[in-house]
Amino acid sequence: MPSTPSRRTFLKHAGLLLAGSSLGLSAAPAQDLLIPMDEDQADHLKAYGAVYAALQDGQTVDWLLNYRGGSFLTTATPRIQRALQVRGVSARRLSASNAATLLSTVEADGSNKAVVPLEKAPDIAVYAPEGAVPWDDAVRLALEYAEVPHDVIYDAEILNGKLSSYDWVHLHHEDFTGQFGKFIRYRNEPWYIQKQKRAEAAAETFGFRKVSDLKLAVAQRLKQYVSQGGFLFSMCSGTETFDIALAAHQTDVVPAPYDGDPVDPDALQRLDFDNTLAFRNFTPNLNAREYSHSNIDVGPPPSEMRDPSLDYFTLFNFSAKWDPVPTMLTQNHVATVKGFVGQTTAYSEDVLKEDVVVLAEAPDRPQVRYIHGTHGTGTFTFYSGHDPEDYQHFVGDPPTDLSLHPNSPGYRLILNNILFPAAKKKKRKT
Amino acid sequence: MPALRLLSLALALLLAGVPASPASAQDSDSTQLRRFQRANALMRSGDPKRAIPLLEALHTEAPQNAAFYRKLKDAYESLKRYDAALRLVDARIGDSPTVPLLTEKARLQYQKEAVQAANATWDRALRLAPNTSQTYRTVYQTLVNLRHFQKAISVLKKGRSTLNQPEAFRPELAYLYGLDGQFRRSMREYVALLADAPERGGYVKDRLRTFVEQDQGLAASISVLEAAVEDAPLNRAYRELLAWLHMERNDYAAALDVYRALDRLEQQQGRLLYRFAQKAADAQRFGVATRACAAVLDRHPNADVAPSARLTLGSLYRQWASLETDTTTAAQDSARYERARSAYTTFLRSHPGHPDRPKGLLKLGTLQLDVYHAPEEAAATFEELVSNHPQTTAAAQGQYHQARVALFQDHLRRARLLFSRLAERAQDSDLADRARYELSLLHFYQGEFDATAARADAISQDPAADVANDAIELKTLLQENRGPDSLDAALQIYAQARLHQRQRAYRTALAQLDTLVQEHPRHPLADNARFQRGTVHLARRDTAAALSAFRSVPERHPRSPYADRSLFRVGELLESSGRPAAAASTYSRLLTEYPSSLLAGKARGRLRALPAPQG
Repeated sequence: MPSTPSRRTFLKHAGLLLAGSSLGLSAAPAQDLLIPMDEDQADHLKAYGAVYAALQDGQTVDWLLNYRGGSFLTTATPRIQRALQVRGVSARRLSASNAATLLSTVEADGSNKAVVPLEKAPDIAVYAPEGAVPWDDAVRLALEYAEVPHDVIYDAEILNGKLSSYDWVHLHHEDFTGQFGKFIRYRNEPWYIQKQKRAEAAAETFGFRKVSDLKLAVAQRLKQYVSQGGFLFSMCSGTETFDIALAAHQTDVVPAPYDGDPVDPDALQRLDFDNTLAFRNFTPNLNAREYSHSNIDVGPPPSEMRDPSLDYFTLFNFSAKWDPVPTMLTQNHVATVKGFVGQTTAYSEDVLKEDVVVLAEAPDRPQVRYIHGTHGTGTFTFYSGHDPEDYQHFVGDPPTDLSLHPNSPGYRLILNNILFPAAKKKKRKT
Repeated sequence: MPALRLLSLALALLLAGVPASPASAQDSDSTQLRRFQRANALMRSGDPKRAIPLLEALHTEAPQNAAFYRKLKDAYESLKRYDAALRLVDARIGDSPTVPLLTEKARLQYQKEAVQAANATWDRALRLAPNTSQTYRTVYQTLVNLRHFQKAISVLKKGRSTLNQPEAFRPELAYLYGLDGQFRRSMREYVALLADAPERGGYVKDRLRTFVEQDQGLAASISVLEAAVEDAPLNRAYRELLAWLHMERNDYAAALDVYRALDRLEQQQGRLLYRFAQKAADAQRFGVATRACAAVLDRHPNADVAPSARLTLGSLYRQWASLETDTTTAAQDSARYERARSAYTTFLRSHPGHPDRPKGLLKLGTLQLDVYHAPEEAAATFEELVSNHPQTTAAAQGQYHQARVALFQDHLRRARLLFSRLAERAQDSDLADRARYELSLLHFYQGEFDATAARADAISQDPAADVANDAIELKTLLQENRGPDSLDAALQIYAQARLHQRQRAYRTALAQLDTLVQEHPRHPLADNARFQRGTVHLARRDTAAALSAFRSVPERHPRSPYADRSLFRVGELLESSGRPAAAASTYSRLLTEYPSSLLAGKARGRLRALPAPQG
């Protein structure tokens, strides 16, 4: 399918046609579609899927940052109209002249808004083991619900060099330290043993003595992928264990119950924080029986304060023209988002690297929920907590039904990330 | 500090056995205890490096003390000083090795990654006391703790062969094989276990439950059990387990074969088969369930269970035919209804004195009335039920359906009488509620709208009643559509039309609806009447007329609550008549014009299934 011209190029043509029509030339009035992303939107999450489908069709979509919750503007083709209708996504037709007016309003100097053209549907991969079910991972739930196609890859694909085929990679809730999620109490359950056996077999296949060595190699490749321009997204313990594994590349932080030998007595002294992406000066938890991985995570609120109605975090408001990337990642129809806990609930401010951008933080507490950073020519985004619509998710809990949460602000933050690589790179104002 | 005192006491007890003269023993014990406590505290605080010199000294002073030895070994291990730990164990082994000590040595060698040496030491441990089953258990337990499952399996197998006890370690081996993904071997062990102890079927199912969730495990288990059944066809435990596995795999057809054989082998005269039919029916596997019932009747026509199987067969066919999710054709449904009718009539003819006869009459009567629309036949069936079995629950239900038959036959007085009796007699039952609602409808059909409203209001006061929502709907119909004249002329016509529609007098119903639309085109009932016209045409299978009627609703009454429903019906009719593009355009219109319609989700689903437009 041929690619359509970008919105602004197209509107220039439309302007010529309109000018032409005043000279007596006949021209069909161009029609555009505004997909609002504020409270008028019936299904925010599916809207991302519809935009993705339009990009897959070769259509250009303009992302109107900070305009009505980060709305989208595109040409009203029959296919996009069908894509919107079948997903139940609200959209409004605009004439070409109204669309032009809207764009110039958004782009006007002095407005904290900007237009970012989205041009290519990013190729997406989710790093998850065989047999992992989509409902165990909020990102896969979001992708499935929004109908965004994606591949599932794992250690073998990464170590065999497949990462370069993808624009955006999400890490399933993996334990990159090789401690199998620190689910020690399940260690004699068949599913745990099978998981451990598969991991050990994979380690052996790739010539590693221990699972932690295999996972470190995978983490190193992922870091390399970011340095070469990839977009990495991770949630919950997939963020924390990623950096722990990288920091521990010269030592052993895995207690005996997980790898058969005790931790390196000098492990803490041998941590290398220059090797991590987001965190520094943290202390891994070397106790096999404690669920927590390190002090990167500040943990859930104390049980007496663990109240979903009181727990929330706030999104930072960025300048769309000066900071388009964090602005894209924080587009939402609300400024505060419901809190939710996970194996990694919130990051301690004390362990953040200096160049990491905080996108959301918990009010009045020295902790952050959503961070972004660059490494080499790529970027990473880490989002703490397990499931934005299930305050406290336990093993075996029923999956979240996103059709009941089509306007979930927490899930929107995940989906902002998938469109981020679709944005045409342009020079920053600075 | 009672806790500390207890700890001191425990440590003192651990220190017992330290060889020393009685005079010096007390002093020595107390200083050793203090130093040991100090070492222990260092270990707990994660500082084994400082604990080691203390423990080494203690061990030198009392090399036979087990507590000093263990703690020192732990300290070495926590610092990965495996060589030191091994020297310690070797010293303890000395000239008198034991199975636990050799096993411990092997474990340390394994952790040191000297796998070959570890295996040799484990073998040495096994050779030390080869004729004791505890030897194999000690080594096996260490190996399981190290997650070294394959070696653990080989140890137990060796034990079995050395002890010359082929039945030894069966549960352990079955479990280990399962954990190791060797499902066939695991199942073979369970099969052997069941051969010796057939009563342990429940235990085996419980152990299998964890790995039958994996398809591979399920398939391998079934294949092993099938072979076992072939070898020992009379073993009931095998067959029961096999049938269970088939059902776990949702293969009810295969489970039926197993139950057939079980029933025959156990000479159960169809009882097992009938029980299986009920299980299959619970799982909505009507095809298999009907085959199971048919097999009972075919093989054991005179068995005790045969009449119940016949009656159940009828109900299964009826449920199958009315299954909304089923994708079968109308002809297939019709054949199933026919089989249901045949099963009921055969049951009634063949078992005149059976205690379930009232139920059979009720089932046949409702089938005659609701599926075959044969009120005369249904009336005769219900009459027999009510007259011959008056004290049964089925008879009360029969009376309700007798009233429905009267309504169907336009004997409204009789219908009212019968519903009234039931409403009074049955008091607070669901049946009485339904009878009361029918009475309000009768008032409605006869134009007695005040009486209708009063009855409907009374019913709607009880939100727990199943018919409360219907009553509220009826009340709303009255509130919105009475007038404008004092005779409620439009509503009178509409009520008549609904009665005729219910009586399947479609021509009359259509004529009345047409009259309503023509004579009262601006009445609030006009949209409803147009929608009902479409419904009546559909019931008459006149698709073209139905399409036209449904299309007229959104055209003439775009704000009507029937507009979106009509559009959806139009879409469905266009789809079923092979016009997908027109259907898609209709669903699209519904979504555009009525975005908050309750049918929007369904319309989106239909639209999604239709081919996407180009461009």
